[in-house]
Amino acid sequence: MLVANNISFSVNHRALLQPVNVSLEPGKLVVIVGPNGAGKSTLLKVLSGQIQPSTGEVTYHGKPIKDKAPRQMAHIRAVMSQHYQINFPLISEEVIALGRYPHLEESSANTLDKYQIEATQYADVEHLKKMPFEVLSGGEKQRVQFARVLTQLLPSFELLERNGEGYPILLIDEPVSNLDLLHQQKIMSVAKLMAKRGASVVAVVHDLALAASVADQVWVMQGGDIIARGTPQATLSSQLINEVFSVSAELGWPIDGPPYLRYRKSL
Amino acid sequence: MMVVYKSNQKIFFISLLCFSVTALFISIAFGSVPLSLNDLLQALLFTPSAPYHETIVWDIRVPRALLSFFAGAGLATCGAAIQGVFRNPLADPGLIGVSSGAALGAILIIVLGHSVLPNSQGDWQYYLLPTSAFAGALLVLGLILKVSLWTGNFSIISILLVGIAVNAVIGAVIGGLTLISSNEALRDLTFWTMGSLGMTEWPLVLIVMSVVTFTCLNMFKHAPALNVYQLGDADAEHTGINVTQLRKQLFLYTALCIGAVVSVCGIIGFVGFLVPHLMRILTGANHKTLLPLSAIAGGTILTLCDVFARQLFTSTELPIGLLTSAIGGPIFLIVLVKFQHQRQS
Repeated sequence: MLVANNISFSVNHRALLQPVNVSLEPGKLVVIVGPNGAGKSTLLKVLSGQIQPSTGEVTYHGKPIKDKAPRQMAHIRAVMSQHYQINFPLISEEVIALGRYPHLEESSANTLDKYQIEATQYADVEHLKKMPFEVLSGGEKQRVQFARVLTQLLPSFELLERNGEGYPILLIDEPVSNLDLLHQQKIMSVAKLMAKRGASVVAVVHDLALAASVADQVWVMQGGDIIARGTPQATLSSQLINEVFSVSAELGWPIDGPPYLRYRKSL
Repeated sequence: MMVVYKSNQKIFFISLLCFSVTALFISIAFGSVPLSLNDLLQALLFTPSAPYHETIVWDIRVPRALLSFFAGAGLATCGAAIQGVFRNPLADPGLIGVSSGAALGAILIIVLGHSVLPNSQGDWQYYLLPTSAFAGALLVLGLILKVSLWTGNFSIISILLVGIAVNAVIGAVIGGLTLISSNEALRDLTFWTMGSLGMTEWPLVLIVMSVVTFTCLNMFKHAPALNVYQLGDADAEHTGINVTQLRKQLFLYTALCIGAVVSVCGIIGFVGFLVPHLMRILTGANHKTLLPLSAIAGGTILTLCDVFARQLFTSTELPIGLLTSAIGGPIFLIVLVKFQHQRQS
């Protein structure tokens, strides 16, 4: 389990993240929502170990993650980020295979092949794998990168269990920003599936309806602080949506389908 | 698409290897003294039909062929590696300033050697120039590592800026040196900057061969990491790469390799830039294949260029750097235009 105690982050005396305590439980999908500049990506970066918090500490199974080598961290967590440009003409399949790198010593090539195929199917990019990465559209590139991140994540379930370290972590920063509706749902359902297999998943999502339909827990961020957390239904009230996002809208919860967002005023 | 994929990569690799052996043989077969095929083979097997055949083959031609092959291999591998480190296909090994350092070391000896050093003739004088050049390269390498400690994370920008600064200062110093140099020194200096594969003393050749082999094998070892590194610093780190350390190691190997080659061969342009480009177009950008293929292709191309440089005119030998640039430029343009054309259709 990943635990962050009292973590904050400031640059030039500007606090991007107020001191917060969070812990990521196995098997749970957490969705972070909040307006631009709320500190969502900063929180994710601290949790992933990409930046050191100004105060506090992040630990995995009681040990500070700052003491862990990049390769050890790569076993524990996989990160899907927003940028995905590559300057050299790699084939999509080669990009996906980059996710195997941290596992090359621990797992056999056959095992990794198996996971890479699984990841390619999850991200729905099988038909793209022989194409040069550079000619893909923005959304397709993002899905190929998602397949790479899953290729890194999938072997970790087995590896961490073998080492008695529990479950891996998947951190996703705006996974659906470039995707069409079908693939938005697909990617989030894969994230949900990873949580069902025991992983702790944290995703930053802007679409409140999508967030509400997949999240086990929602963290609402504003001004660098987590101002509310809990189940989507209990947390995302119309009052909170109004206060945090400055839009007049409410979530509807039909019995026979997923939640939807309804604006009170048309544009 | 022109790209050759996995199934064909092996065939490509093997044909290139055969081609490189042929190139080495051609390089040994041709020279100012004509040798028949029989004489050549006899001399290669240490049973020469005339004693001077063995001298020609083993003391002149073989070391020269090996020097040209390893110099080309080193330059091309360094080019591929430095383009990878900068994540930019336009990067050139000359950017990092190490070859300028070597140039300064060499030119100091060329210009001031006669006046400062005792005018005795001896073997050591022959080795003085490359030694001084290599010292210059190491000096620049040390300087860049030192400055990178101040800036912290050995970022691409800091390597690039230090390289630019070093190149500028050394350019000025060399300019100053040309002002005070004699006509003879000026001529030597000019020729040095156009490259030469004429330093075929076995000790020098063996040193270049071992440095190139050592550094290139180490760079090959880092190829998988260099692939992941192309994702960008943050994502590479997430995938388990210690980015700063990788950059530092590849930089160190590149600098050592370039330093050794330039110290003995002078400035040979275009090989380090061109060969990785060609290989990327032919076989893709995966560094696991790109680095070894660049090495073999670079060696082969420079060996063949050297044969042309020696044989083109009977009266004189063309400076090798002149030839690589003169041939390399147009070939590169043709391939580039053709490739872009194919990609669009």
